Amino acid sequence: MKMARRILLVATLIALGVWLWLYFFPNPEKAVRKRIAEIAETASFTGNEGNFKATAQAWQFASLFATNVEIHVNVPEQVFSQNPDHNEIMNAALGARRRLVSLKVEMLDPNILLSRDKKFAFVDVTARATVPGDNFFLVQELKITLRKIGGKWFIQRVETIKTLSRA
Amino acid sequence: MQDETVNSKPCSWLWVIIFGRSPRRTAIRVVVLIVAAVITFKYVIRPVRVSGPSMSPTYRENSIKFVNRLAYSRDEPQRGDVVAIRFTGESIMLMKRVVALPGERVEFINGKLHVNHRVQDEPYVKRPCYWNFVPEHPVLGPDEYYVVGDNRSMREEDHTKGVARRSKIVGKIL
Repeated sequence: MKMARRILLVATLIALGVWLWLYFFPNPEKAVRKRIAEIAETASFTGNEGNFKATAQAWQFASLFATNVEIHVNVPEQVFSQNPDHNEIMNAALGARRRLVSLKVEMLDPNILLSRDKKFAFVDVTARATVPGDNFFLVQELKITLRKIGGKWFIQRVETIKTLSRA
Repeated sequence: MQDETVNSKPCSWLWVIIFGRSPRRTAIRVVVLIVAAVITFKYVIRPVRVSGPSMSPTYRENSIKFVNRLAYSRDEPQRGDVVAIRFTGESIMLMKRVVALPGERVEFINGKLHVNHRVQDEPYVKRPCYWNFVPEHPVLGPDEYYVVGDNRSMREEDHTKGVARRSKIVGKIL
């Protein structure tokens, strides 16, 4: 009986240790996956949020980007490359909130590739943006580069990918 | 004893209806059915819901179609096939028609599709088309197919079309 208790105690301690290890030092791919989900979550909004919440959410969205982020968009009628700062990203997020009643962003099928030193993650993902209650939807393949800074993953580069192209 | 038989009759009927005469066999059948359904719908035919107007009027919006994933396991896509093309995964796919095969040259002149400088007969294009363009890479590579929707009355800029690599083609629409 005593032996069984000891075994149970040791097993519990090991399980707790593994859980704590994974909590404080998560698998990089899992952490990147979580970050991608976070991007989708903070980019989405509903119409019933107040000004304070909208600003806080927009700021949270902007804070997911590195300070020297590069954005390359190449979709019909819009081709641009920018290096926006956090304020510009926040203003863009607030602008989207003013133009649309609500927006649901999903990041589907992320394919993650980590650099050898595990400081960069290259993610190919399909982004889908829908306006609930409306027929409008947008599907765009993206290549997102994330960089690990101070233990956290930040968006370093976002690039649109043409699905039906030779590239 | 008689009472017992009379009372248990509705219950036994219910039992037979739900679990069958042999519950063990029924359980095995259910498991086999679930496994077969999962394998069929994951690896053989995949149901998809049509969104967007680019394949109309051939396929209506919100209709349910099936992708035959085994269609190209032996053969290659043929001209006129309607295929599903994946993005980074298969959660969302493009539904397009293959109009030109590897090595062929594609262009649209006065709304007509030209492949290798010959006008193509396309009975599935029901609406007027006024497109005039030569794709960025008009001659297709060895594993490339040119795909386009049937609704050519849309503005050319708004219509998703172009080169699909063979590896991106998931299967044929049934």
